[in-house]
Amino acid sequence: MAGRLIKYDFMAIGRKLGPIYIAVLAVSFLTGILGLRVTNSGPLAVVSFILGVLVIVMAVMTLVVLIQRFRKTVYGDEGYLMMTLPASTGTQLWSKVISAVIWGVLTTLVMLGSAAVIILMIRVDGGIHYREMLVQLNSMNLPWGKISLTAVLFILNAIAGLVEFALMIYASISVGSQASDHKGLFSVLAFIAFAVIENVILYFAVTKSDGLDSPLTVNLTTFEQSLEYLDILLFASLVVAVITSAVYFAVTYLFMDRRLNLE
Amino acid sequence: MGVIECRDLTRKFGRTDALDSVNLSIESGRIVGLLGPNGAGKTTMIKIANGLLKPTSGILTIAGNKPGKETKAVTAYLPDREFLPGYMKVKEIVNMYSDFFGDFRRDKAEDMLAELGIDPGKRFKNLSKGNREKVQLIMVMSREAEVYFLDEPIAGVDPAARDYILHVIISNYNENAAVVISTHLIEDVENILDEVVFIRNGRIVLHDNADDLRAERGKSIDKIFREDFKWQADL
Repeated sequence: MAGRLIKYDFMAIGRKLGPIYIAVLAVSFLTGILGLRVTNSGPLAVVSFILGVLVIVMAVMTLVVLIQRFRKTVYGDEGYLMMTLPASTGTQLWSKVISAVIWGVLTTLVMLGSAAVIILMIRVDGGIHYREMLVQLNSMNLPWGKISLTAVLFILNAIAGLVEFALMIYASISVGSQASDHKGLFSVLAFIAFAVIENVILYFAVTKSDGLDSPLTVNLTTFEQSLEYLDILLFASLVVAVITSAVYFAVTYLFMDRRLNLE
Repeated sequence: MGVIECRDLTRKFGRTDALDSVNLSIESGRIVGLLGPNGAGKTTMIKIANGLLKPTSGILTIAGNKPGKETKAVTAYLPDREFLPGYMKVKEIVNMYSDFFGDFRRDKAEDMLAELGIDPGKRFKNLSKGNREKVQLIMVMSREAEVYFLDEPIAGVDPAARDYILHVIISNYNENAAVVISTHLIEDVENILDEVVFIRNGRIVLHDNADDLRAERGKSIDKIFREDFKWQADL
């Protein structure tokens, strides 16, 4: 059932985000072509500005569409269908979280893709010599094993961050939906309250613990030592994201399961 | 034991009792009218049965289970509002029902849509209000469920559409299923009802066989309702 729920979420969101993804990639391509050929920088500046605006619109739209989708299909009129499907509340919520992560990742990939298109097309002073760059990187004898571990931790952090952010929004909407009027306003207030509580708890947890020394007092002389220190930071941040996600999941689950009251 | 059972079912909204110690048993194979004025508690009871609300106290079961994943698989529900996504084409809605409900009969739905001349390629939001109501009902009645809850299925549609809706209900429901129709437009539905339940201020005030009640009081259910709910019915 989760797969089918994600499929219909994907279709509903895709029809809104798909066109903006295509627009961003197309304008990136145009920016690349202009950077390649036009000697006059005027048109390039205009297209670059449009691209910048489009990228911001895409990021904001991703957030807005995910918020709307959750509100509509859980607490709005479409909830009369979605919340009466033969699926448990847990399955319903997980499918929404997975959907949010997929769209968060896709938006990030489109942003990276846009940058990649421009970088690959623009040739400054005869172009970027990728082959030479790779040869130079190889000759530096970098600790690739340790770099890979840090990269994996970084990616896991990014995904956990998306999960946590999505669940924080879902929990805020769930709290806001309990109000009889101004549900949107109460959702925003709930979001601010969650952010304040989370930061206060984190502040006390960090200042009262003596587990990790400040980077200013740690002796980080080698590249490996810096990587190890970064790994500890990333791991700690991952643990925090998992714990806060679990709390927001529990809050959202309880409201969806016990306090669902469609208009 | 009935396929739908309520025992001391109570739901409070603040200090208001939307449902107050409701006890009710509905058997399979019956078409039951849940009749009462607006705000009597009909929709609250139907929402609880469909897992959209939790009771404050008491219990409601469908085929022996509390509302949840198992009961939703055997319960077909038509809410009192438009609930299908407007951007979807009619054929996509059929696909969606087929994907989500194991008891959905695609052939039945497609036949009914063709009979009405509804273009499957048209978006739901672009259909007329009457056709949107009909498509929603067709989706619900094309399931072979054990229980059907139809909340105000004929409110806000023209008399011709009402006739069609009632025709769909009686000709498509599964004979081993229970159908609960909530309405305050009694005159239009009373001919298809086997049983009537009058609900007032969250309490069941009457539950009887429709024919027996008509014979006993010598008048139509609509007339009996108007007398019993005089000055209270918001009709």
